[in-house]
Amino acid sequence: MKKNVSFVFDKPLHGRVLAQEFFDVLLMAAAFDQKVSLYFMADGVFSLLKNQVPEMLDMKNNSPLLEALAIYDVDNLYIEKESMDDRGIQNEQLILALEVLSQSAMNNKMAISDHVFSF
Amino acid sequence: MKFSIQINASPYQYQASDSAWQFVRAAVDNGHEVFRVFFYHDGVYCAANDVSPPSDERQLVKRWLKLHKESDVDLVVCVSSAQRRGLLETSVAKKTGGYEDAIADGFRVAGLGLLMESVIESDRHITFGA
Repeated sequence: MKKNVSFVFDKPLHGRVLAQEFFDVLLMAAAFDQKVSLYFMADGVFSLLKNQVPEMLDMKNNSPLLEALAIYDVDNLYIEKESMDDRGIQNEQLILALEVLSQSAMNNKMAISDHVFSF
Repeated sequence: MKFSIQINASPYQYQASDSAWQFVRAAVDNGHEVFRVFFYHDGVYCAANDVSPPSDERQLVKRWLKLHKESDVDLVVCVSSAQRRGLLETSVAKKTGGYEDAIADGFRVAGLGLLMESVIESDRHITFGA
C-alpha cells in the first residue's frame, strides 16, 4: 500500500546534526516506493541555498543529495513563500526549482499526508 | 487502532522516551495494538545494556523489557544509529555473529526498513522527541 509520507524541513540543516539521520528515513521511504513529499518552511528554507560549504566545518554537504532526489522519484518538493520573503530569499538563490506555495496552500497540501516526519 | 512509535530523544536529556512508554502502556491497556517501537537517533540509548542509573531513578531498560514481556511489544533499535553511537560491537565480523551485547536482550537490532514497515502497516505513526 502506498502512503503519503511527508518530510518537513523547518530548521536549518546545520547547527543540529539530526538532519543526517533524517535523510536516511527520507531515502528509505522513497526506496519503499511511498509517495514522498518534502516541505521547506521557516529556517528550513536555508537548506536549499546555493554555495553552501559545510565541509569547512567538517560537516557533510547535503546539497548533492537534495539535488539528486529526482533519481529516487522524489519530485514533490514545496517551499513556503512567506518563509522565503521573511528571509529575503529569491528563487534563483536555490539549488532546486521547486514549487513555491503560500502558507495556506502548503497547509492544504500537507493535510493529505498519512504520516509526517520532522527533525 | 494500530499504532507504531518512534523514539528520537536521549533518555537522559529529555522526557520523550518516558512519554512514549506511558503512551504505549496506555494504548495496550485500552485494547489497541502497538505494532512496533522503533528507537532512532539518541533514542537508541534507551536500549543500552550497561546503563547503571542510581537506584532512586527510573530504570529505563527494565521498564521497556517489562512491557515487552507482558505485551509482546516489538522493540527495535536502529542499527545505523546504534553504530554511530558506539552501541554495537566494533568489528563488522563480530557484528554478523553476536553483536548485540551492548543492547539489552528483548530489544532487536534492525534497519530503517522496519521503521518504514511500521509507517506502512500502522494507522498512526507517532514520533516522540524531535
